[in-house]
Amino acid sequence: MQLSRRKFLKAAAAAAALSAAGVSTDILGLAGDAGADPGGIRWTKAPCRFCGTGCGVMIGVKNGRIVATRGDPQSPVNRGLNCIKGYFLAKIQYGKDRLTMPLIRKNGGMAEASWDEALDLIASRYSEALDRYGPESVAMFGSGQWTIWEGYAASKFVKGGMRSNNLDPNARFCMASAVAAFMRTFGKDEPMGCYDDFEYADTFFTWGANMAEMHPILYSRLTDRKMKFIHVRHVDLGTQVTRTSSSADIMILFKPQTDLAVANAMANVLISEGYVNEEFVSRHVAFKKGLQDLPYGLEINGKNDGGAGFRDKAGTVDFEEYKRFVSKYTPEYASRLSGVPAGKIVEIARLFGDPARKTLSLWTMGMNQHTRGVWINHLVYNLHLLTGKISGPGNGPFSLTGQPSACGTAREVGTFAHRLPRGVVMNPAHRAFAEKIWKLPPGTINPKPGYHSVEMARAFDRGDIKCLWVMCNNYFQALPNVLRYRAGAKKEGRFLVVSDPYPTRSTELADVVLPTAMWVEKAGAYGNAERRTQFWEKAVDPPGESKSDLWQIIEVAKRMGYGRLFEYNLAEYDGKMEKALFEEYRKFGKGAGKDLAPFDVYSKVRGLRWPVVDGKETLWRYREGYDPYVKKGQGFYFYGNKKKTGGRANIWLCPYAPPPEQPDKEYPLWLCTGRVLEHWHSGTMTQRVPELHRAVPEAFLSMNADDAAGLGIKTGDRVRVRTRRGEVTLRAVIDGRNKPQKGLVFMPWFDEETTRMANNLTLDAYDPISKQADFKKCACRVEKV
Amino acid sequence: MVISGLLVNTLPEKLDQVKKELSGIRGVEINSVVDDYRIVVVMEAESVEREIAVSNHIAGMDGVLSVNLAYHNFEEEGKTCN
Ligand code: SF4
Repeated sequence: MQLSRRKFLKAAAAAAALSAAGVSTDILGLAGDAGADPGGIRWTKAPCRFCGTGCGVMIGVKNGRIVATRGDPQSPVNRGLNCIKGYFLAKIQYGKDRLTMPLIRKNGGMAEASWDEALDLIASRYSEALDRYGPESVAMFGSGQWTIWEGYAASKFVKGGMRSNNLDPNARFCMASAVAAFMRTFGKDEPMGCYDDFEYADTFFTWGANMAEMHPILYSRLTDRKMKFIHVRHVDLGTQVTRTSSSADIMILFKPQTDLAVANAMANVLISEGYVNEEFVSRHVAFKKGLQDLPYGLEINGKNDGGAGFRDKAGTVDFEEYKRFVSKYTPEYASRLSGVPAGKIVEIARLFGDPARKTLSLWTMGMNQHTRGVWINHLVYNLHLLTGKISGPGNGPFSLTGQPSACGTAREVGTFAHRLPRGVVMNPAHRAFAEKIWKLPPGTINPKPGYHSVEMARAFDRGDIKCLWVMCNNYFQALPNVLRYRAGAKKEGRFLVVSDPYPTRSTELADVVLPTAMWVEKAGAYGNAERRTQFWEKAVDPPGESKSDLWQIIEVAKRMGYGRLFEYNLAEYDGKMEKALFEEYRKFGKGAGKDLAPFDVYSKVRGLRWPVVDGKETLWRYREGYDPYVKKGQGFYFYGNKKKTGGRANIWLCPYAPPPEQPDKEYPLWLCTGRVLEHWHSGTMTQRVPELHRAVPEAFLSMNADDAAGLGIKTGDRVRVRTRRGEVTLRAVIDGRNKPQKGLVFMPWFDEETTRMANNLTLDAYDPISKQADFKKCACRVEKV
Repeated sequence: MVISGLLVNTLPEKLDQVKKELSGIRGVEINSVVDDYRIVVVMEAESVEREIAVSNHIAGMDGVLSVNLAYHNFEEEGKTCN
């Protein structure tokens, strides 16, 4: 490298970091405004490809290749910084094993094929299944990593074209419980607040969320706030000590599933010690009680326990009944269940309720991947509603997301088995509305909800679904109890299509594999966890013959005779299919609390938080002065519940209930699965650097020191982990970065080596309300090998 | 050669200790300290793999709250540095 270029780049690197720290680099006289690079790099904006934080990235392109990235200084989300997963952005598109040609299974092997051949085959197999077995025999499993228009096109194709509702996203594994609880509490999905809350909150609660590793940029905003203001406190609740817990002021370690009891006991303390905001509760809150004894979505002797089609029955109760309900959850009772000292529960409840402090709750998988995930989400909303700490700067329940467009695509477009872009398939008015916008004859859309994630795999296993198209996710590694479903996919008479940029555990089972253009190899749009819709333009060409998911969906639709769904006068949309689809999609949210700006606006701005009304974004929903849907004098107005409760939010009476599988003599330990920073992309990356011995090349089993000692296990030993479903063999890590409580072991689910796949072990039980599986709790046995 | 600019947030009381540890890592230069707890770091490495490993290593250091990436140039990955 030429010295001057190297010097320039180092100056640019320093200047970028300095300006992100708030130092004006002009004063220091450093070169390095990345926009004025003499090295010929052209910069464009995009949201990050990874987590749901939705950080802005500037992408530097030279000679048709991405050669540099930079945290976007203009992005209000991340203000010039990315987390260290940003390093992976250099690699994600340029892996040596990128798929570049369609592949078709022939004589047991995969043979390269033309697009025409592959698409014709898919269309004919889908059409044949539709003719012979009807719309319930075809399915698509999509993604919270789809762009907004890809999800929209998929919905239109599956629901408006094939008249099937067998469309579900991997977001069902990720935040369906948050969605269901938002809907049941506020009548509308997604957080009311936004990331600005981080700069106003006085007390942060993280509930089973290791933000330090999973949402590092937001976590930096949390720690920055703590650094600058000495009174700020952070309470971390979880089943293991993580990097997040180690920087928290108070750590609450509870036994798996007993978060239900702890949260109820906190509500009890708030009530008995006078922390209730009586005025808020009397004006803006209603009380609901649903069924208390729910199934777990398990198949027992081949028969579903009732979870699959479960519908809750809600009744209205009053504040007095709610008070009686939580009075059972004394701190002492919750302490017996959870192992948390009663005094600690009182202490954190007081901190939560302190009227002089603003309180922000943050969570992700720990609460959502839970067989009572909807309930624990409710129980946290209850605390915010009792104290009126909601919908204002620094106050609110804030569910984070793991995927870049779990909100923008899966939730907002509504690529779920029961959803439409506005409303649900069960509702005749909602169907009619979609049929009108989609220009379909009345009665086209099927009123029966389709199969949701786990049930989709079961139906494929049984053979009720004949054709399944997996897009933009790794279904046959991500499913709980995956061995069963992998075997199902291999059965005769199943036709599996997988679209992906890389070979995966899912592509290896497929009959047709389609090579996919990813991220900035196509134009896209994502929606992040704070309702921010962000666009990007295509920056580089995809390799070989790879094509976007959008193109693939439309081409198959055309070949099946649904081409009219995607016929637009593109001249009106600057020749862009993406614009035509987005402008149509926008009609669904308009006036319904989900107003989006016109397509062209998003090309210029660093995203906008919906509802966008009269060109203005909304920072706090449901609050007078911030939300255009709330009138003067209303104070708060939960307009999602306008019809049902006159605009009040619901407090739900949700009890503690045990999980479906608990440790016993044979399987004495809890198994929790999750992620670690290094394994987002590839654990082997760290393996090649010998001077850093802390590298973790493969999935490992994190153990509590006492449990390990009892079994004679030391760090580095090979251990076998068994559950009733399967087994894996891993190396043990004791007192690593994650420190599980006694009786619990943790493993990351990333590793795709079949002998180390976490989902060989997990239980395919799910929350019967949200249908989200619980990857955090099952019983296992560990032995040294 | 790949080059990156990082912002390392530390606990103020551990700032000196972290600075000392950082200065022992090959390819890592401390550019400056901002607000008494944020260290501006420029890193040169032969590969993105090494960058990831080093930044993970820094993130795991005692006293480090977070490590964030401001700038990353990999136009010369694979070529050696002079
Ligand atoms: S925090 Fe999430 S969105 Fe931001 S840079 Fe990291 S992975 Fe990307």
